[in-house]
Amino acid sequence: MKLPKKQRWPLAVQKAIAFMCLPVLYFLVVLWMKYIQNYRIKDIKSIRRRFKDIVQQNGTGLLICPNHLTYIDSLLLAWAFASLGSYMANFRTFCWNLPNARNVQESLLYRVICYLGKCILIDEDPQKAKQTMHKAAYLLHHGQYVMIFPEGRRSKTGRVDTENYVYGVGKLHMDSHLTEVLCVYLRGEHQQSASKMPAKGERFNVNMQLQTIDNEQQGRRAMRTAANQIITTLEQMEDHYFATANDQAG
Amino acid sequence: MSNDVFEQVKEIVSPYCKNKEALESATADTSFLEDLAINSARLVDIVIDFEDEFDIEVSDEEADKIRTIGDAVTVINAKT
Repeated sequence: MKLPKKQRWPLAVQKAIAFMCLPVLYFLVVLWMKYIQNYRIKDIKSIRRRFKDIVQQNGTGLLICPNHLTYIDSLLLAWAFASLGSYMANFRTFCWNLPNARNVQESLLYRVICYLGKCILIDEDPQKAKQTMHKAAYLLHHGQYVMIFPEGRRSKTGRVDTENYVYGVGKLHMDSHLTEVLCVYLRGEHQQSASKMPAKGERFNVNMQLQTIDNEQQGRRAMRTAANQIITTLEQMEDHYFATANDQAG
Repeated sequence: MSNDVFEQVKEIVSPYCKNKEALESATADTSFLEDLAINSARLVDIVIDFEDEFDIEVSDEEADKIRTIGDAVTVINAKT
C-alpha cells in the first residue's frame, strides 16, 4: 500500500515529535486523570498483561475498535493498555487516533494535544476524510496501531449504537488487509449515557476481544459486513458487561 | 425520467427515510440527506439495495455523486 511522499513525511515527522513528547504528555494526562479526576481503571494490571500478550502475538498493525461514550475514551484506553515504559519501548502500540476535526479545530491547545497524541483529524469534507482514512490504512499496513470508534460518534443512548453506526471502520479494515481487529468495551460504573466527561472518581471496566473478521465479499458489501461484525461483537461485550454487573448486584 | 424507476427508488429508500411526508411529495430534486432526513451512513445500504434491485454495479465515484432521487434514477437508467 502506497502513500504519496508529501503525505508520508508529515506522518513520519508527527510520529517522531510525538515520541519525543510522549513522556511529558503521558505524565500530565495520567496525572490529571488519576490525581485530579480521581479516575481508576479496574484491574489495570491484568488489562496491561492481556494487551502485552496481544502485542507479542501480533507482529502486524492492529485496528482497535472501542465503544464510544465520552470525549476522553481514547485517553483512558491509552492509560489502560500500557505504561509509559512499554510505549517508549514499542511506540507503534501507542495508537494513532482519528478524531473528528470539528471537535478540536476551535482550540489551538486541543490541536497541539491531538498532534502530539498521534491524532490525524477526520475532516467534514468527504474527499479529505477519504485521505485521512487512506493514511490510517497505510499506518496499519506498516505495523502501526490505529484506534477508531466504529459507531462514528458517541452513543446517544449510552448503549452500543447498532442502528446508526457508520461503515468507515469496515473500509479501514478492508484497506489495511489485516484479518484481526481488537474490539474493546470501556465503561465507567456510573456512566448512564454519553457525556463529554466521565464523573469525577469514576471506576472504569475494560474488556478486550480479538476478533477475526470473516468476510468473503467485495467492495461496499465487504465494508458493511466487517462493520456489522465489529458492532455485533461490541454489542455482545456490552451484554456480557451488564449481565455480569447485574449478577454482582443481585 | 423513467417513472417506474423513480417509484422503485422511492420504495427502496422508504425504510431509511425519516421524513415520510417529504417522500410522499418527492421530486427528482429531493435530496436524500436534507429533504428525506436519511442518515448519511445508510446511503451505503441504499446503493447496495439499488444494486440488488436493478442488478447493476455502482462504482464508488458514481455512488459519491448520488445526492438526490434524480441522481439515483440517472445512474440506474444509465446501467439498465
